[in-house]
Amino acid sequence: MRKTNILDVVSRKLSPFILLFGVYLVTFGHISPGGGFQGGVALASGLLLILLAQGPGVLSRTFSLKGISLVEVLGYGLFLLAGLAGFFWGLGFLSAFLAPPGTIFILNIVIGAKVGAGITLICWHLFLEGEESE
Amino acid sequence: MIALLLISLLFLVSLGGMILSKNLIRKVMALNMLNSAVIILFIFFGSLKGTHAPILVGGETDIVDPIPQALMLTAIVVGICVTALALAFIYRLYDRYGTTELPEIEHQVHQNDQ
Amino acid sequence: MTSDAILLFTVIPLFGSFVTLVEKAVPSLKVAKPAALASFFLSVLLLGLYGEGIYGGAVYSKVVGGWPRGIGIGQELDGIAWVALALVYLIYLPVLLYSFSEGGYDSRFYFFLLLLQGGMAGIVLAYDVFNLFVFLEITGIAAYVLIGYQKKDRALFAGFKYLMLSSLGITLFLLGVFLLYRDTGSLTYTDLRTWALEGMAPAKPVTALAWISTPFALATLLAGIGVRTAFLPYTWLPDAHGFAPHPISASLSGVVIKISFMVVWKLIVLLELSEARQFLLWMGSAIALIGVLRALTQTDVKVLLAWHSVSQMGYIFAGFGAGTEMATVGSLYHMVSHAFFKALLFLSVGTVILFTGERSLVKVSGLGRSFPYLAVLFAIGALSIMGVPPFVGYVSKSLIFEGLKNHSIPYWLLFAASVGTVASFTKLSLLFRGSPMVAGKSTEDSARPRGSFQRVEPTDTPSGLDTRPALQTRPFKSGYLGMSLLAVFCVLGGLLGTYGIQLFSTIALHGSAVSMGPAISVGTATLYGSALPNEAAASAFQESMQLTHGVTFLWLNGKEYLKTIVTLLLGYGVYRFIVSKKGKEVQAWANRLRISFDNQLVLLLVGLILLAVFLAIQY
Repeated sequence: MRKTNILDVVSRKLSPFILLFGVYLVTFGHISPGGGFQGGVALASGLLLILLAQGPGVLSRTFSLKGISLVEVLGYGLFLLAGLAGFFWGLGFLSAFLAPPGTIFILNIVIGAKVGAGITLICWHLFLEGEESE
Repeated sequence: MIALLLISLLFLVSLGGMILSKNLIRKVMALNMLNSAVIILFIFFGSLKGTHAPILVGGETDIVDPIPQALMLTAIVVGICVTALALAFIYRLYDRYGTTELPEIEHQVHQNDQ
Repeated sequence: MTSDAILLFTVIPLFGSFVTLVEKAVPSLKVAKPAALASFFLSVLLLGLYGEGIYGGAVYSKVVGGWPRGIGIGQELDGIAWVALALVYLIYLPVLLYSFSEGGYDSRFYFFLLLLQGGMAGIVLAYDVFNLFVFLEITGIAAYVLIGYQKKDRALFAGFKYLMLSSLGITLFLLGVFLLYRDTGSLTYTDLRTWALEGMAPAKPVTALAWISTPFALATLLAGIGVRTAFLPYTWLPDAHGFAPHPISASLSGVVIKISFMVVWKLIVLLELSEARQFLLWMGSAIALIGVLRALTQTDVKVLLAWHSVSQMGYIFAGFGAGTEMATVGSLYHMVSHAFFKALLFLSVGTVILFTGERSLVKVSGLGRSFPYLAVLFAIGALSIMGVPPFVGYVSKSLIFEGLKNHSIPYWLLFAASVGTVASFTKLSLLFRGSPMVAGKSTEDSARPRGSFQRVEPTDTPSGLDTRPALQTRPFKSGYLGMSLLAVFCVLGGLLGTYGIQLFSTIALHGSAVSMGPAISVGTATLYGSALPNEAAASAFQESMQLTHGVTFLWLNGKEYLKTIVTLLLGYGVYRFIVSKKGKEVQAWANRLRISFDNQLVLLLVGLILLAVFLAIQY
């Protein structure tokens, strides 16, 4: 069964909207349902749509594997830094050091980036493993 | 009451699926469903009291209980991680043993024992 | 010392894991190993800073983010937590040193190892059930990955089984948390204890289901974590610990199952579930014997050690279940001593596997001549587990047996298990004594200078030890250092046994008479629950644990020595039977008994229902 054009076209048109929705979930997470993790998963699904429909080659033209790994690692570090910033600023770890919703906003964005990158990486690696063994 | 019945049904079906199915991937799916059953249980019973989403920015009162939601968010994240890990394990097992059926794998693993 | 810093116990390993990720992203910066070491030193420094306060009975508690207690995530450092953390770090260093010299571990290994340490610290410090759940899962995920790290076939399968069983257990745990939350409206330990002391009244409106839901909820709580601590079912442990990488086997057998047991301990004591203690007593003694019987039939050395882990955990369960003060302190002491000698045994046996490339008892023997120091290390571990004075195993086993005096059947079951342990380790010591042989080829003629060794890659055709003279001694320095540390702990833990007993009972009793009240943090009350209901009983127990009494009990007690000698003699007799022809037939038959994975899941549920029935009787 040959792959038709529909998959290509639809995935290419739909993916930016999914990414936009993911960004919306992340940034408005403190006043409406959503937040870091949920938005991150939506971001990942936007990227994975391209990955599964068109293959990793197309995806790596815009988002390279190394770039996404770097985002994931940096996300972890930024989260820890945000936590420690709370330590130095005011009360303990992860306390609110900017007026609300400042801290939560930053944490949401960091988590959203990390989760999005992380889940994309998981599926990307599983995909690559599959290709290797063929 | 109906809700409790339906959730118990979901729970028992996924538990049965996890124990009785022979395919590893189905077991992992059943585990996922099991997690979902518990999550729905928490959220449903947490939402019985109160009417608004638990966001205090607008000065709302009469919010739903936020603790089950926070706990369940964590449980969902953990569930996803564990599922991903389980699928990675299954992939490697498939690579080594050539099958995802449990009896076949067990047979292959133990045929080298005395 | 402020309370703010207790969060650092979890943050330091997490930060260390971030540093190892940096090495993963930029492979030229070799920061993973230094980060792992630095994490150890910083954590121990922090622990030391808190030591004085803890000994004086202080309890430190802190809620993350400065939120009020019921809303925020709370952590608390009390005496028991301090001891548990000390144990975690004491085992972490030798494991780390061993992994440095074994080689072949990249930055991701250290990432997960640090995650494991951070997770365990979090479990121990958790103050509410929510936090506990998070850290249990973090530890679990790190453990699953580490078991399958070297991607050996059987390790993968074992890791998968462990993952499924453990996840089912945690889901049941969540179910229990739900029922508890509905009845109490809160998740912190203090509120749970208040609810328990008021008779566990279910929340209004009281439906007809209430009288089964409460014991069922409690049973699911315990059973859920019981999987992690090799309680029911214990069947995943031999494969998982047997095929994991060597330092991971040591760490898992040494600390992870103990920390999970501490959670069970805390829950049982907090919620005053004395029926659960009975259950633990009986199941523990049975598991101790079953573990040893299965161990006697094994020829794979690491699986044999793992079955012994199952058996020794049975001792710990039985000791805790007995409920008397002596047995409870013995159980805590056995947690520590088993960590020491089991880690030492796993690491030394792992070294044998590394040097010879073989895992089976029938293929390797008589290495004592070539590796005398390794033989000594193994001997220290083996003598400890057999309960021979003056090593640490003697102290803890004596305490447990003394505490179980009044329960005759569990006492004799544990005694039989001790006999079996002696037999099994006499058999295992064939690795080091007897005629030198590796995979059928004699190594009698390989003249090796003392202390020399050389790493042999496992090949398909077993070629035995190289007959070339030793090259350099550098390759395994830190591994030997790590194992020697553990051996030193074994010896010190035995010789200073009386001080150890003092330490544990003091930490446990500080403020316990005061903190029995529900409003105060439940810290050190968690050792005894209501076994010591008032000041008089507490001070009477303190008396009985005084130094002089301890010395008399341990070292001048003819009865204990007699028991040890009888155990050794009977064990030797069993060993002769095992290596005889009839014994080999029995072994071959027993080895074919196996529980399939599906049945293991069913076993979990059966155990859960049994436990629920036990608890329901209380109501």
